[in-house]
Amino acid sequence: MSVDLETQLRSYRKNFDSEAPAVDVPGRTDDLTLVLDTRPSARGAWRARRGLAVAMAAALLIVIVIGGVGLIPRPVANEPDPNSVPTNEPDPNSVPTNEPDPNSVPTNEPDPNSVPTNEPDPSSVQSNGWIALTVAQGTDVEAQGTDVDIWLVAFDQEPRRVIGTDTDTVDELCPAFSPDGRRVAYGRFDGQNAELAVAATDADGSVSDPIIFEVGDGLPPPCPVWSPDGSQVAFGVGRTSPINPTTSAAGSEVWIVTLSDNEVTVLPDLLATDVEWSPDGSLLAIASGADQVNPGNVLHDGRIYLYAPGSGTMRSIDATLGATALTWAPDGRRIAYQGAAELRVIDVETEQQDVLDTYSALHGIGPVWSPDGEWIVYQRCDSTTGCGGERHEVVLVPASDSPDGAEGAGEVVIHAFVETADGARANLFPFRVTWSPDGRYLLYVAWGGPMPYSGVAAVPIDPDTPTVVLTDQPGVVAYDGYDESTFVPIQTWGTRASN
Amino acid sequence: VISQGKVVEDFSEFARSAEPRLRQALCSRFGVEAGREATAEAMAVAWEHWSLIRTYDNPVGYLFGVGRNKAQGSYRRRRVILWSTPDDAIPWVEPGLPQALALLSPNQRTVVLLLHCFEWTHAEVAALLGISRTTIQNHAERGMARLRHELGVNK
Repeated sequence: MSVDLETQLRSYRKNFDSEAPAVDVPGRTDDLTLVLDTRPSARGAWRARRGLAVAMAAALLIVIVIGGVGLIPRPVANEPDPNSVPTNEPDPNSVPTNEPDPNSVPTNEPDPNSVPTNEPDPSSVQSNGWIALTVAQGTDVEAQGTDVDIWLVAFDQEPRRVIGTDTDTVDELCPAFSPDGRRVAYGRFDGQNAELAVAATDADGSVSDPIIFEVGDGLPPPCPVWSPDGSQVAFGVGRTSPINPTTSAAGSEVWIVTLSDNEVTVLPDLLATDVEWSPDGSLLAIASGADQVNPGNVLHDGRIYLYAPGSGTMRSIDATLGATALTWAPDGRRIAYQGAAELRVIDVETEQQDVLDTYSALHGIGPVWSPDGEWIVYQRCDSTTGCGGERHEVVLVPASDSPDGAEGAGEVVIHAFVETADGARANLFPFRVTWSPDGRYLLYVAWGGPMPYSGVAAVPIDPDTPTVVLTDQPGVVAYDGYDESTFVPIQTWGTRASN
Repeated sequence: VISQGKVVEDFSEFARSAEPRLRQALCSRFGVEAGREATAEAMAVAWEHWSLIRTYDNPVGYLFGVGRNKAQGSYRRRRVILWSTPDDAIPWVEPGLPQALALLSPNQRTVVLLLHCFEWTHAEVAALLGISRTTIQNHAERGMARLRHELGVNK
């Protein structure tokens, strides 16, 4: 007898409650510490998860014994263990899973003979030679956003597309090299689904097929930031974005993905405009933006939140109203941030803060602390031409207190020039600026000079060393993620840990 | 100030109604095993943050998002295994139905099962998933069409 499908589906419910019985629900006052009248933090969820771990382990064991569970294997260097029991507890003893290969030879170190005026600690970090960039396919700026792929370029290598194709209809963007320079994490967006991807990279610039972590439907692609030990990546999951401009910010989160076991720690109710790990990885700093940046987004309260993965605790620095972009000092004691028209530095323990500079700008100023801790680079309206045509200038501000205590004292304004094909000298204007791993160069995503729309250039700190235009191809995307992000991608110039 | 006893009572009442619905939704989307684990996670979050979540307009929808994020982070590549068909069911159920349902997209499967198996209303499904009723209808129609194709039935 033929039965219509709707009727079959109603009948199909019969076995549901016996095969998927109710789960244990907490609710006794002695099994969890209930936090009353405070905003959610992940700490409690961790405690709850620990309590559930034994039951989950048993459930997983049964599944494994019966039929096995497994991720579809993909050729990656850091395959997560599908049999691991998620405890959501970062291993404090974790070490980078991909040790640097002492035999790998960077193909394109910056010229070792150039003498920087800003000498970094040579034992700290070296470059793996590659710089990742995001390129929208097309021949002019109007084509941006049609199909975004990831390219690599080096001092002695032509730019090459390594992730994505002209026809894949998937945006791949926000590349970030792991601290050991052997993996790259990036965001993917196919028009509906947002995903995090992590792929292995080789010294020759080749990139393996990635492992994929689904973030969700209708969300902007993640822009990951690696933890210093390379075991985790963090990123904001904003519910309101250019993809969902009319959607409330409610429910926005920050995710921390532990790559060894696929575990995701979700920090609820945070609309992050910037996230960055402290140098020792003990804290994740989250800038929550300012209401005037995205009016009506109530989660943008402008505080900086500090999440400690080791303990699962989170606290806020309430004096930082208006913080939209931030950068850690290499000593891990201070954070510089973009406030309301001010560049400020705050001590994360005492919360004492100083105004380093005031500025006017057309877009994010993107402060980034230099590797040696001496300078903070940011950008503002050009003091000579004004902001017309979105002309910004790059400024180096001494990170320590200036001798006379005046704002802007000791600052160095950098105007970068390149030589055009006809021999003329032309200005480079920045969209984003960050440091090379050794602190000798500033990396510009820029326009101007021979780059009518966009390009990438390495601008040396040493004024006697010429600027290197790494690529002047059209379509280099100046933002990472989509337009609302104001942060600077600080992990696009690959590093390689010293031995 | 709310007494702890009142909080527990309040939460218990919520859990009695919310847990089955969350379990239905998350098991429909991710399969029985991952769906139950995601439900447990979501309920743990609900308990821990009950003082805040109790004020939400749509706490079940919020907790579905919590469970979905958890499951997507940890179990994305796990095959969706639904519950079995009853042997003695009247009306009769096609034995290949769970396998055919597993072939649908997550949204299609969730919508089809919540609407036709668990008999939620369109408005309830729309509120849970945070998408419009029109989109729900599209998922339902496309899901049912693919199910009929996979099962070789025409009604």
